[in-house]
Amino acid sequence: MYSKDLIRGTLTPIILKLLYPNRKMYGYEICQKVKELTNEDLLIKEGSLYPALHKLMDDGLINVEEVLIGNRPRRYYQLTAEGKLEAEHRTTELNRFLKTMQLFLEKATNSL
Amino acid sequence: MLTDKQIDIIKKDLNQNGIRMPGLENDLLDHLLCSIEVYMSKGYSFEEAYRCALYDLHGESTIITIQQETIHLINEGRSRVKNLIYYGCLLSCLIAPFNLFTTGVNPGLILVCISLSIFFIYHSIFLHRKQNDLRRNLFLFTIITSLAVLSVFIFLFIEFEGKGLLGMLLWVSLILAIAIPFYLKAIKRSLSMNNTMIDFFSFALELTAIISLLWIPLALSIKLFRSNVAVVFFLDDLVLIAICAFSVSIMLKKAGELKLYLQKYL
Repeated sequence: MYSKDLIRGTLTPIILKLLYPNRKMYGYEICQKVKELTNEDLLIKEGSLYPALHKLMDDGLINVEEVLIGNRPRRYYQLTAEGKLEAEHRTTELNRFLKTMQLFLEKATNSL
Repeated sequence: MLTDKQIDIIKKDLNQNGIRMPGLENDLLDHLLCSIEVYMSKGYSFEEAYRCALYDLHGESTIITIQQETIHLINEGRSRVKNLIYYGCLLSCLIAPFNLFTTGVNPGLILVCISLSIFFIYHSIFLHRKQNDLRRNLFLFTIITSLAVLSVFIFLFIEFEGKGLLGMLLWVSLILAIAIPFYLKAIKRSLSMNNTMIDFFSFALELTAIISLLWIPLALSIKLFRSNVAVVFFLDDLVLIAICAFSVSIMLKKAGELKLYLQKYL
């Protein structure tokens, strides 16, 4: 399990990456997928996921389609054209950041 | 599959916990239902599964914090200046029909047209973009801005018979293009969160505003074809009612948001 602060900064790229390029997912599915892909190391709390999804929607990066599954509504999220560009940008940025951090940690350890 | 009755219990609980944001309510409902189904498949009863799902959802904090966090995140990037421009331009649109009753070159008309253009640039690009339908709104923006520019041109530089009629049609189109989608959206929003007295009053006021605005084109037609009927004063009242109703409705909504923040911090 990682700290809330670490997860907070990476939540948006995670959501964008999961939905990229044309995947439709609902909230619960996103939580489960992240859990599965990270061998349960990364647990996204619903209290962080839904505010982030609504913020992305408000920013025009994702849109939502509400469908009835049996007797209940389900909201599927999908990237907009702008969201796809943002997903690419965020993924590249995150990759670069991870490499930088890796480099920093190696050099910081060696310099001690 | 959960029964309608079980779904209603959860929906009611969410409402009682103050979850009123359109969309978020269905997100949380579906999330809880999925989680409950997983627990029930492991042999838990509905009540036990619901308790566990609720705990998974918000842990020790309250469920309302999810809504508060959502509102906080969405409002984070919005500046007061943007809101001021938005409502200022909206007001300009509402008072625009008054220009029909003036003759000759009118500086007020120029001001209104400029305001309208700013309003549409802002509304189409910054606000409607967030509704993820950029192309449709750019189309609307182009048509309406063209109408505004055309009306300035016609009113300032060309003298011809029927200028008044054309001017009126342009303004009526503008008001209809702005007011109806705007208020229908507002009413839809109110209906989807009709749980408190504040929402009920907001809805009632928005309804008053839309009725007043819809009456304006009719009153203008009366003025045009039966010039002996004194409807100008009546129009003043209608616009005033619409503006007041809309303003009070916004204030009530802000009061609702304030209540949510107070619940968070007190």
